[in-house]
Amino acid sequence: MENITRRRFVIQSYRLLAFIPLAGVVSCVGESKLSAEESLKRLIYIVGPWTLEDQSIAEDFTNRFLITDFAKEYLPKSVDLIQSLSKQIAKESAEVKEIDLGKLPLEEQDLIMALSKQLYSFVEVRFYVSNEPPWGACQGNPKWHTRIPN
Amino acid sequence: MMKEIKADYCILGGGIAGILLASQLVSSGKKILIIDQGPRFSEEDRANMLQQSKKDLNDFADYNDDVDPSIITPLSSETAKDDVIEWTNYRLFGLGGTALHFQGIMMRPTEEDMKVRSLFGYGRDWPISYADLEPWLLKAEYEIGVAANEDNPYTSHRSGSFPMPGHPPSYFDNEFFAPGLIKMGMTGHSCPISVNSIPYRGRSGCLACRACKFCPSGARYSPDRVHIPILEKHENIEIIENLSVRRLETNQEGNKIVAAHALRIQDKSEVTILANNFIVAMGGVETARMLLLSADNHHHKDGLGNIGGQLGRGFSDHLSPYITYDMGKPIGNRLGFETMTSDHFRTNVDRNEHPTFALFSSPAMDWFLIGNEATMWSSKNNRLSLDELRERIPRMATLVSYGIENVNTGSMLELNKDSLDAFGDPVAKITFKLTDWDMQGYHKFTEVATKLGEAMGAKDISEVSPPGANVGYHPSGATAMAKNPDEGVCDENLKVFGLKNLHIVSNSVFPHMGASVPTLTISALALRLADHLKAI
Repeated sequence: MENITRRRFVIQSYRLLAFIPLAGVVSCVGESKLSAEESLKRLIYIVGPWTLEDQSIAEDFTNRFLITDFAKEYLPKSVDLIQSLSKQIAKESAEVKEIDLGKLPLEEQDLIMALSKQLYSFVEVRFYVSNEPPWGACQGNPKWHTRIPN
Repeated sequence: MMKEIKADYCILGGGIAGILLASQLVSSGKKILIIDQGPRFSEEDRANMLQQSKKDLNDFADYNDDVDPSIITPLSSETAKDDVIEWTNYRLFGLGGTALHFQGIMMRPTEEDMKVRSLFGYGRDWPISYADLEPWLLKAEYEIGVAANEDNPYTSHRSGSFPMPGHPPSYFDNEFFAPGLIKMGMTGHSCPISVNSIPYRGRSGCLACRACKFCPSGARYSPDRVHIPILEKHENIEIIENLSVRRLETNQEGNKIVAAHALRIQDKSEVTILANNFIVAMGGVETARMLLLSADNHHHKDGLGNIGGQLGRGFSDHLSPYITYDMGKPIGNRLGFETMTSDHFRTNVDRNEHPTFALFSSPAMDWFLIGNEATMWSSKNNRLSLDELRERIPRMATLVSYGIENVNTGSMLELNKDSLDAFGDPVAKITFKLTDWDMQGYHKFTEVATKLGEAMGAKDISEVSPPGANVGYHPSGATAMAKNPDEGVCDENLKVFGLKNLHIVSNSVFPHMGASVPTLTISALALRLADHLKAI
């Protein structure tokens, strides 16, 4: 990591716990089902970059994602996928620094990769990760792009 | 009941060409009618689209989103190596045209671009020289407001300075792009762009919001914000939106246009326009299509201006490949548009070996799917490292060529009688034939982009995307200007061959486009045409 002063997206330890208390996930798995929408939300929280203090940003983004056509690709498999991931995470403590694709069925591997490619291509997500102000918000400083990165 | 409108000048198309033309004709005092089949967008519309973009995850709202594409945007497609590409994504119907959402790059052609047949043996020469066009290029830069520094060692002669200084090079340009270019023996220079670097003619300088498509500050030129309000102050101007011209009618002798027949978008009621002069300014596809749709059973069986069988021939478009880098360290903020470019490969090339192209590099641009490469590079041994992925994103940059020159020998725009628009008229069918020479431009870009990534110290370098032809930004050449009807459709003053009172202005009149983004040249031709029309 080049510079720790950027937004704390690198602090992964709490990502899952921020939105999905692990016990809750395991419990849900055990009790059988979250809805497809709830499962997809949790997938986006896991794969996405948001930190604990930005929960409301993540929720806002996820709610908007769910009503786009993009969600249709993931919803049919989201329940199975979150269950598979929950098993993996349960074995490896609470941190989600990486996803062991090899422990997932092939179809779920492809979906995780597709979701990641899509999420991190959205300008909104990229700007969040890069600690840039939201798209459309005027900086008022025409030289702001010349600054040395944080 | 059919309505009849009379005018001295009837301009079909309210894009940048038609609007600039009208802005120069208005002082004549003659009645000028501007017709566009799209709507007039308001500032409220822009604000709503900005909000909609937020709802749509910031990437997707655009001006024609709510319009039935079969009415407002007749589909047109190309065939290139079995690929069919729809020409709908980047065209825009509405007062202001594609310049409502364009990026604003304002490149000039080079002297050589305008005489490629004479100098290099390919393509078509322009019937006018760069020296003829240059004063109009300069005037267009002032009319539109172009920001750039005079630091381009590759440019052809300029008779004056830019109206405002260029934007300061970004951190990325200074720290990565320029040094990389120097290592490869090239020079990076300011990117000429119609985004104000300082307040200009009552409009703000750029406030760096990066939502350039809607430009909340008004710093980026848009015809509906700059020239249409000026036109609307004149009593001799009438602007009609949502009116679709379907056909031009000639007199019995077939040497003059007597009427334009149009339908209102909302109710398909008929409108007839009678005018002394007609000017078609409908862009690279629709201009040629209008001349084809106006074919009759007498003098113009194959379309207007098609005396030498040239209408639709020589259709061209740019290839626009891009590449993605992980620079290994954060590359800084982006302004929403490029601040630096290099025209090195527009002049320092053996054109017999490969076409010319310019290089634009930037912190990852909004519309490139950099999450794709970042995810792939962060996935090793069947493990996706989310830590690594998030570290990569602020390090990602892209390099693009917005226009690789090509000639597409044998390419053609014609009518597709198997596919009709909402009015029952055939849409344009474009057959795009890339030659081996054309593809050499793509291959050369691939080679240069990879080496430049290495020279800039990139940690990872992607494959070039898309893997093959990618076009659709700058359709041109289907109604070329020429010295005689055996070589084109209109003469050096843009008058259609065989018709006394029909002129055309758009990128469809380019005999050859070279590697430059066409908007400034279109604008210069519009200003030059106005001067000609006022003199006759």
